[in-house]
Amino acid sequence: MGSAYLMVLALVLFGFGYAFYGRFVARRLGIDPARPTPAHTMTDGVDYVPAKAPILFGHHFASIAGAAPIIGPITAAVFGWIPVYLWILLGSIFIGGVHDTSAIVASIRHQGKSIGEIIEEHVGESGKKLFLIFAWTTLVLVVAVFTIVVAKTFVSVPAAATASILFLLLALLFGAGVYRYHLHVGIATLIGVILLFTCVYLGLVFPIHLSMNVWIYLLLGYIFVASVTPVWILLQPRDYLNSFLLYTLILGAVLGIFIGNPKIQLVGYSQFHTDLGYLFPILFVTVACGAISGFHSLVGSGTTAKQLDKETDARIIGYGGMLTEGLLAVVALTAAAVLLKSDYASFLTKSGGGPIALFSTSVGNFMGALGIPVHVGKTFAALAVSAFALTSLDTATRLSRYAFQEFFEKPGVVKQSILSKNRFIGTAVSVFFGGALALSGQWKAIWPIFGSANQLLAALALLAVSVWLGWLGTKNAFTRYPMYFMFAVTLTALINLIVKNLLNQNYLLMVMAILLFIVAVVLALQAYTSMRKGHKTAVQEA
Amino acid sequence: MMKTLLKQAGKIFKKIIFVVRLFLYGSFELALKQHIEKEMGRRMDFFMMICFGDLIGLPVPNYLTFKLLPFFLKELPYWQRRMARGRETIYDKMAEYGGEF
Repeated sequence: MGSAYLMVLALVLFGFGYAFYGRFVARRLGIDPARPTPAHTMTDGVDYVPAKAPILFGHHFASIAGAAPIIGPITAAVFGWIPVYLWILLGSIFIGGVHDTSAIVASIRHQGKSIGEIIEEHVGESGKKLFLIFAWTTLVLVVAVFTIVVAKTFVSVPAAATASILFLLLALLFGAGVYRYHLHVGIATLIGVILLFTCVYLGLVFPIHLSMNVWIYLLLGYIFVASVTPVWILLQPRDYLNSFLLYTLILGAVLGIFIGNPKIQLVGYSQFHTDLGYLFPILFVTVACGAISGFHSLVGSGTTAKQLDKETDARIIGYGGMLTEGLLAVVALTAAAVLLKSDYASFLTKSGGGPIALFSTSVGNFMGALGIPVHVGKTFAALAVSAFALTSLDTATRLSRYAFQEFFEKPGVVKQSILSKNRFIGTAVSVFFGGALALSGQWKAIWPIFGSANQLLAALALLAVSVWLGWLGTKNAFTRYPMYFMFAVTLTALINLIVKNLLNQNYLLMVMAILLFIVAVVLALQAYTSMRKGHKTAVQEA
Repeated sequence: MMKTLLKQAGKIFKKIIFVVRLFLYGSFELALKQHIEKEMGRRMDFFMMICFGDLIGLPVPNYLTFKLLPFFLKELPYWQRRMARGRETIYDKMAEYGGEF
């Protein structure tokens, strides 16, 4: 079977999903185009500013798309491509899209507050501490897993290593040009894009060959520096250039699949138990952001909701954004599905190139159908996904530092402890734990735990939305059942992973999984009981 | 007939170009622009606090800044809202940076 059919079917089903289920969800959430949004009622010129739907869609999608929806489906394809494909399609339509849209709508009905703040309001200061522990642990896992994956990519595609280093320097120059020397953004972009492709060329001419461990140490050093510098120096300009990589990559890969229509060679279904674990629940958490991601609710409720022009835009941005990310996941799955089982397995062994090398090899072949030389396409794709992974790496380090500092902060006290004041301590602790995990573990062991934590966050967001809808007296089955399902999947996955890591003597990973499990259960129970109690009081008072 | 059809097609084409331009603006430039605006906003907030702090309950001698008041009339309610919302927390930071995983 040709892989273009996978894309066509996904496009058609997502179209139907958006038109019918998306409309149903919007109706249940009581979306009313006439009701003014916080961007209008609370305009402040900085955070709360109305933006048109296409602008916000572009911004939202650029914020949610990254390396995780590419790595997840490729890793999960070990179960065969059919179950992964089904989970991406059904998960995006019935769970992920609902989660993203309802988080945005819940936020606009709570003055544009983040879903985290909404939960915290009900649970109190202990809820905040629990959330910070949960967030820190998840982010350290992100640091560990992306460090290994990027190091693996640099070892197996040395051209991508040179290109990535040059790309970072380019971002620095771009940032300095735009922010410091007031270069016109258009001119800087033109020069930037030309230099971006020069990076790929130079990468091919001068590849850097280093061992895996050396790359891990270098990456740890890089994330330490990158996460303590001001955002305008590296993070902002690189995100801007990353968007070019993202859209070129998606366009190149999709066109390549349609024109070349490569044949699917991977088995549709392999077996229920693989080296990753059991299909239920491990497949669901391994696909991670390809079907549902808890971080989307934080972006949706934290940034997008503050800028929504009309309530009806929530469906386009939330639901539409998730389905577009689902398409990216389908592209990633296709990259794995066109390989023979033996080739696929050789990429994912301990000494193999890893998921990014697999993706870039396949995308290089897809782009070959467009007349682009395969090795150029491959280096470009490896550069693009490594750039996303590097972004995830240093933003995760930065965020884990914020979480660490905020955990030790005493509210209302002028003299704070050094753990809260000093940014280097927070960063060093996060990099140390992330590095220790990266040096001792395998990414295949860490990835499902990260996926579980990410989706537990989504389950918590769905819980908050379901309770809120319950308060309003709205039928909330469309968020309640996905919430039950996500809690069931993630908690059983964590139990599975705790046992597996105990047997494999990965004690650090085991402790982190136990921590995530306990914190998430306590947080969910506290949020649920306090919200229910609040509801009872509200009803009695009425 | 043909003319109206062409006119209609031209209109639709223009609309598509407009939407694509907005999408590209949102994907690329919005974040850069917002970052600069936030930075500007923060500096402005400090300045406003020095000038009109008494409007939000800070004991600042304001007799010298009355002359500035007309220039900041539009900005005042926005600034008061920003001040009332308080400082950035982990949720704001996660929303700003943390969607890529």
